[in-house]
Amino acid sequence: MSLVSFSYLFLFLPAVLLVYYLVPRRHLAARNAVLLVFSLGFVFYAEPGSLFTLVFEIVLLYFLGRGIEKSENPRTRKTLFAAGIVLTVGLLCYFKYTAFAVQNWNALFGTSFSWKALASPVGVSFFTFLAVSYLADVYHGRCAAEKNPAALALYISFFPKYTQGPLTRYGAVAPELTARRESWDDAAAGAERIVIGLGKKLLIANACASVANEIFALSAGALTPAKAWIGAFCYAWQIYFDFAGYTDMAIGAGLLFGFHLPENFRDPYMAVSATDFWRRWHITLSQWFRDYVYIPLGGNRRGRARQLLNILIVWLLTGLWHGASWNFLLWGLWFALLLAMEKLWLGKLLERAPRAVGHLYAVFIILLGWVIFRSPDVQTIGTYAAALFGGTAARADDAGYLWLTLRQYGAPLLFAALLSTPLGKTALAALEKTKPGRAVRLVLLLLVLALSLLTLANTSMNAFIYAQF
Amino acid sequence: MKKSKLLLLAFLLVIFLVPALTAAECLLAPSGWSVYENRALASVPEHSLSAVLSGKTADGIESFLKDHLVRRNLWLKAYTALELDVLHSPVVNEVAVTDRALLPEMGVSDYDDSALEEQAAAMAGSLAKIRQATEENGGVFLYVGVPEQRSALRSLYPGWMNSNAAEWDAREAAFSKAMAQAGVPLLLMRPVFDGTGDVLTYYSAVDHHYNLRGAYLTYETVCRTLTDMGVPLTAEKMTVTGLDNPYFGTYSRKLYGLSPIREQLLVGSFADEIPYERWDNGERTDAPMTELPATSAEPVYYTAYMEGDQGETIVKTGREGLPKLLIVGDSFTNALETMIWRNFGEMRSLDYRHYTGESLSDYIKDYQPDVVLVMRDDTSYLSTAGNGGLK
Repeated sequence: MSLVSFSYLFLFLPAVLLVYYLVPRRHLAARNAVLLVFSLGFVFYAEPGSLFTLVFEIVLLYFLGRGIEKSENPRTRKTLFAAGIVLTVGLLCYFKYTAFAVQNWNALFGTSFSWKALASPVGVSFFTFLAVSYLADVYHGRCAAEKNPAALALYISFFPKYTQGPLTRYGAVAPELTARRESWDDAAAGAERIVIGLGKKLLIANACASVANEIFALSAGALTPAKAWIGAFCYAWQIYFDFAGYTDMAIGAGLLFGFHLPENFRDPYMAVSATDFWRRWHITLSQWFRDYVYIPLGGNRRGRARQLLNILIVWLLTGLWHGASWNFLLWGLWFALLLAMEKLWLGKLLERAPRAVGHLYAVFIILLGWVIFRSPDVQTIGTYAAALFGGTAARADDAGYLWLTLRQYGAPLLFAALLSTPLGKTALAALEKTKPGRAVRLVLLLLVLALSLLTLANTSMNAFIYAQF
Repeated sequence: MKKSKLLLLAFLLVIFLVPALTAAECLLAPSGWSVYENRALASVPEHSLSAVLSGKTADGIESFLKDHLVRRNLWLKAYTALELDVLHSPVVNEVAVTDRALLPEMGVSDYDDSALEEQAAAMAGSLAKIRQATEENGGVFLYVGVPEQRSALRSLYPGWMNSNAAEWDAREAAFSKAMAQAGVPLLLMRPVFDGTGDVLTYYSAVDHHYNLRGAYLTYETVCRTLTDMGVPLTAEKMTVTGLDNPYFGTYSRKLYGLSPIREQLLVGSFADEIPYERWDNGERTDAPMTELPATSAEPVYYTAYMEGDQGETIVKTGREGLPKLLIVGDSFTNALETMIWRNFGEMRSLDYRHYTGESLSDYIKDYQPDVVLVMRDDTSYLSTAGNGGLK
């Protein structure tokens, strides 16, 4: 179930709010039970088969977590931890990567093994990472194993963050599972985040998607350099406002129930380097890879060569996490190379250069990265990249196309450009300081809500990009 | 920082009131049909165990909620009005809104000349077999190509909007060349319409078809061409009148009644009536050739002609001395059929998008028509789907 769907906004969310708040505040366990039942229902509604995998994983996680904590034998603890990692990650690999592996094996060795791929459970990439972090945190003593299986189940399956995050840590969420106080202020902030998220997705991301989808579908014969750049910019905005919109809605829904989910974005397109970009983009994923892969591999503590190898491993895994396909692997490799260069020499050069140079560099490499990410195969990456730099024989009709695009999508593209900077947040915060400002702010947000609902009623293109990962 | 509770209140009102009012409307004033979209609205989702487990129920709930949203037309109209009148978007709901016509948005042209030539050769090859089957059974074969509205009215697109004219021309050139090489008689109507100097007189400004005048010009031209091919036919005189009813064309209905361009559906009448019997898809029917609305308020569609697309229509006049016609094609044949049947003792029409009986070659063998007309629009010349996959 998409957070931008009629089923969610007009059926699921009001139902869960109603039942949740019918339970008296003093019965937090019962309120949690309501959230758990609805969350499992959310997963079942999205894809019934996914529920079985999820429940299996929760049961596994519960017993392994308890086993690790109870055992005093380091060897047993280690075995249980390793078993947990192998099983959870194995499940992810089975669903997500087996077909890709078989396909490449066949291509490499000329064999003809066949593999009937099962549909990946909804949210498998996200709940696997939650499971790994939970087991690791319990194993390393960073948090206690959850004694209440229902609480653990709610942590894993909590519906706002289930399909696309943000990726949470058990230690951060656990206190709110056992003692939280829902407040009007939180609920008001939550509603505001949901409205802003709806606007980002429906009014900006979808408009950018219309342009990007058309351009990325063009053959080499029609892809001119101007169109290629427009497509790259529009996709960059699409994926940002799509994912940031979802995150706003997830954080907002969490606040309605008193949960404070972590932020995932910090104006990523204001970055001045690849390193800086990954501190601002999908922050919870970057932190996860840092804490559960990069640092355990040795991080930067074992010399420069090992650090570069660790960066390569982390970024190949980051690419693969997004999908079983060569373009994602290449995208990971692209950032591994950039980050390695920045560690070796480029970073110092950028630090000394004017900030604008860093911005230009970052925007350039991020756009190229998104071209790799968005292309369905390696050949398309080559064609598209060639078109960006003039290596195309495409018939040009760019002036008309540009004019049409501006007339049709000028407003959302302008907002995309402006809101990719801190301007939007700064303006909203400034408005909050005075009474007339607050009235203007309210009117603006109500307008966003009204326009979003009108758009929702009139379009069907509301799937989120990150829902497929 | 403290946030305004008014937004929370508005948000809660929306998410609680919309489903409540939707449920009330579904119970008190249920609607199963969308006039503007000319389609049935989603029905109550299937909720058997297998449907639930397969996810069909979930999909059905989403469609149902979307289709039965309280005052749905108001939401759709408000969005359309915003795009049309406030934002002045050149394209609204995928329709390019120009001063004189509503046209489909064309996107960026993307085609390959050599691929078009290959497709054209293959298409002409399969049509040559149909011509051969027709002639072996004593008939005359003619392929009639009519421009679709977007192609006929290409000059009405603003200069900065792609009209796809180059692609339509490339398709037509490749197709004509291949048909000539395969020896298949081809009547292209685009030069005929262009030759009138006022294509908009013959084409709908709000629908993707020609209007009845365009169908009549096609009828006249087909009669002349068939006469030249040895089947003497004379087009009967027809009087054209317009209906006052609201006419919802393919594109005007996408604007939910807010189209800045209004048009009448044209109906034709002839000096004398010819008695006939008609069968649609094997069932005897008393349906007229043009269905007239019961009241002047009732919306009318292009489907008024021949009751819309039918898999197979048979019209018998009992005039044994006149030739037999078989006409094959998409919806463009419908308006033509309302007049051309009068020149034949029997007319049969097939639409392979819906007809699931025998192949065209076998049908010709059984029916033994004197004339076989295959008629397609120029955007479909090379398409092998539906009526493009004739065998």
